[in-house]
Amino acid sequence: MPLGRIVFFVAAALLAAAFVLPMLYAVLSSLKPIEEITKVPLQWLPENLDSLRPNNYTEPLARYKFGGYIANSIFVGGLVTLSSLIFCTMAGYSLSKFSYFGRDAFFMVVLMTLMIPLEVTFIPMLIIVRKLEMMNSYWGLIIPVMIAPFGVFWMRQFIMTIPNDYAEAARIDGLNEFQIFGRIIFPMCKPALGALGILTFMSNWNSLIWPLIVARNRDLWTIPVGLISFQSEYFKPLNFIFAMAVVSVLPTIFLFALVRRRLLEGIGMVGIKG
Amino acid sequence: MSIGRGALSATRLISAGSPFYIFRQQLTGFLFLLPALLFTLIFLIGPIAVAVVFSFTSYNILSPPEFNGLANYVTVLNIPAFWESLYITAKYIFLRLSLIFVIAFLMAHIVQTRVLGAGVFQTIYFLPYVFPLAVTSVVWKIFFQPHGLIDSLTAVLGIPPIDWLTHEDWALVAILITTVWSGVGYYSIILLAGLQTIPKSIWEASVVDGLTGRQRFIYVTLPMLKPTLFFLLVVGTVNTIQGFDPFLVMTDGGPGTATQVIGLLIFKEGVVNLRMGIACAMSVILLAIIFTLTLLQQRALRWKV
Amino acid sequence: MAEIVFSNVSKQYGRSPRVIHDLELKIGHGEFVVLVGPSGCGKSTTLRMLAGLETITEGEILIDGRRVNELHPRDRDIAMVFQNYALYPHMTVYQNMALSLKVRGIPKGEITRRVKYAADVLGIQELLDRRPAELSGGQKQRVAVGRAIVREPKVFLFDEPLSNLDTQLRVQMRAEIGALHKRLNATMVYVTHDQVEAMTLGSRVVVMRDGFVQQVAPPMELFNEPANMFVAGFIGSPPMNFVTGTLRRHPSSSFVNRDGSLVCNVAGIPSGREGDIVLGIRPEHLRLSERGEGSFMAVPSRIEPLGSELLLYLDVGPDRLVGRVPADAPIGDGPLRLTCPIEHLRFFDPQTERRLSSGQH
Repeated sequence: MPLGRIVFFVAAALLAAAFVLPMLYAVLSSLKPIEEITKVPLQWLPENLDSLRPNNYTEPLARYKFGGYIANSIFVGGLVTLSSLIFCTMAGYSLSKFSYFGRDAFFMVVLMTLMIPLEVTFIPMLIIVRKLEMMNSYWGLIIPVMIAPFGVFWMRQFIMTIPNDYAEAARIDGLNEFQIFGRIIFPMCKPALGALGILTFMSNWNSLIWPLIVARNRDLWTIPVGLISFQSEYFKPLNFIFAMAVVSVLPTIFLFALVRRRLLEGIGMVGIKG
Repeated sequence: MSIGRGALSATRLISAGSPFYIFRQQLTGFLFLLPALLFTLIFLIGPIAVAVVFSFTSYNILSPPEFNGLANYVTVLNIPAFWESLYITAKYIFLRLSLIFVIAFLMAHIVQTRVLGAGVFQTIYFLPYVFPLAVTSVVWKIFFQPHGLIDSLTAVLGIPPIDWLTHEDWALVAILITTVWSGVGYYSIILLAGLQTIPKSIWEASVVDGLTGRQRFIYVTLPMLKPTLFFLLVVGTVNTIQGFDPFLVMTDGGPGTATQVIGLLIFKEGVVNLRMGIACAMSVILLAIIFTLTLLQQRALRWKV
Repeated sequence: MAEIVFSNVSKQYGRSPRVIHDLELKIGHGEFVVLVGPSGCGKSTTLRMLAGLETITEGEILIDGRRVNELHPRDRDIAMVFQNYALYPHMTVYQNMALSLKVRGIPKGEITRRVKYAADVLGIQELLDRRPAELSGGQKQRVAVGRAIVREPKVFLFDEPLSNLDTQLRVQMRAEIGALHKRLNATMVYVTHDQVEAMTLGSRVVVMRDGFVQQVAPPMELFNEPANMFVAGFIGSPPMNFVTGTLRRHPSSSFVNRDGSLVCNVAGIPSGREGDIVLGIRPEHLRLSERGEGSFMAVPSRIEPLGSELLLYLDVGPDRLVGRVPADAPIGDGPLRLTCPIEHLRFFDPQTERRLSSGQH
């Protein structure tokens, strides 16, 4: 191997270490009793096999309702994803294959809202959600984030690539407009829907600020909210934090593994096309 | 972003027969849009309207809002913490993007030279991006504790322990390290895609022309990457403004107000202090700033690319 | 089976110029009519108006005497085969063929019977459980046709159905579609840009150009009696040769090109015409000759062997001709002596490009 390549390999490995070591340490710590985690000087491995604490994983589920948080995250994320897929596809179909007054203006609005960050909108959203009496309810967790403008944009761009022939063939075959959407267009969107679904679910699974504002009641908390609540405990249960962090990360790793190739290519494509 | 213009080209209406048929077809299209339209009006446009309206009132949720003219704006513009938070936000965005550009470039270059295990490295670099930022923040907060993981790692390099989260200057650095760690892989993938659009023959030509590695970077790579870099700048700015999870979780703006970014300030005014009018006025000002910056960026984009 | 009438039909998109002008066309029961022409001639638009996929700006279309302008495609009792087949990718072949029947509420047993029948006709019985992505081009084509057959429609529409296939398959599918027409005895309207397809399939062929119908005729009539220079040039390959010249009486009745290098005997064709005239002669009708009279000399600039035949690229004074002769024709290095048999000569007006009937010469 030429020298240049060795230098690159070493640099790559060092960088990788900066990414892997914290993850590894977190995973190891999630199995240790808290005394070992806080020990000075810091130690990596559990002292012996007997000191392993698998119940770091089971105890928060029982004592801190973490099972409920996970269920909430799955329930909310699942419903948001489902509705987002359906409504974004409908909107995308409408914006790409029909023409009517105000269509392009609406699309411009969608594009513009893509640029507005949460920081600007979450306080007025809070006022609206209070008015609609959705505070402290699943409604409040789900409905205000039900449709992402990005999803509308994404599905529109995808459906534009489907030739009109399919809808025309279906029209001649005798399907009505809703059958054309439900039986032909929606199933044909599968590739785009897969990526959008996973992105939507992940971003919901990951979101903290909105659930934190809406869900005052512990029974509505999602994983990130539950996890940061540990911080306000007088005696921080670091072992539980590490264990629950690992748990909260596992589904995202699983989903990422499912679509790794397509996701990485997709991100790259977006970058090139701008 | 430049997605606007090209994407707007209209597709032909598919239809048969009478004006009534055309009308029905338009109605059908509109019906498909309806849910998204309602949602957009209530939860995307609505908040902006509400922010503007409530920014002229004093409102604390408990009692009904009262009109108070420009008082909120006057107050906001006179709060030093507001200006400070804008400064901290700008500083944070600038530092984060700079760091990310350098490291992401290195990563992209490593993967592109196809060193042993390039695919594995790429996956490792990207992985933290899929973790919930709040979770990453919670865990890194523990890492930054005195005698924690970070101190023990820097000790190997001979660096003495640092009061990461309780020192005015280091707190922002700690957050920067966390959010760069979490996000840089995403940018490296976009950069890599950009690098791969540069034809191989151009690299070879530059080698034949006798350019050194550094000259090639300055005269060939960077200019050809311009569109990608611009895209990264836009997306990076939006993404970096977007999340104040780590600030809320790791420092809560402290020590003092050393890491109080604008999002966190609005959060505290609105959600904690229930001063909705003030929070809305801040939101409106922030929106105006973002709007101006976006316009400027689009101008620049049109000129330069 | 059905009778179709286009009466005075025009098409216009918004305010842009018309793309179809006053189309008049009658298609009889069980006819196979092919619309042919270069791209942009309006043939696809015509078909799509008949299908109900495009509005009709002016005039009306009748199917079996009933005005269909306002009818939804689904109510016109037509079936269509698309250029890219438009097979629903998420459904099996069976589901693709059954869908139109299912949404019409036809009983399951009947659906199965019809799909089985169509599959038998097309030889795709083993493909019924596959998805479009698992099919070859020819198989997709068959399924697309099958989807139309199960409907048992009054009219079959084909929109360039073979243009995505390779040459060999195209010839095969062409034959199959022809056979299908014989078997089903249905009215079929077929759009193509390929004149060979048009000639081989159509019981009548409609040649279109720039939104105007140029000629409607059975294939051989189109070939032998083209209505104008466009049709004469479009049908037949290589295309008909055109030579501009004049008719003269002395010393004998003949056609002469501009510099007199080309002479054809036109004795017996009555001619009272003055001024320029265009002579049309097909490459395969040029004859090698030994006699001097009524013949002319041509210099071959290029010779392309096609196996059974030779293509000759010939210079005759200012004109260039293409000739097609048997491969064993006696061709040396030098100039060739050629004649144009009088029965194969066609004459056109250089201004209107219309063919001049015998009386007008």
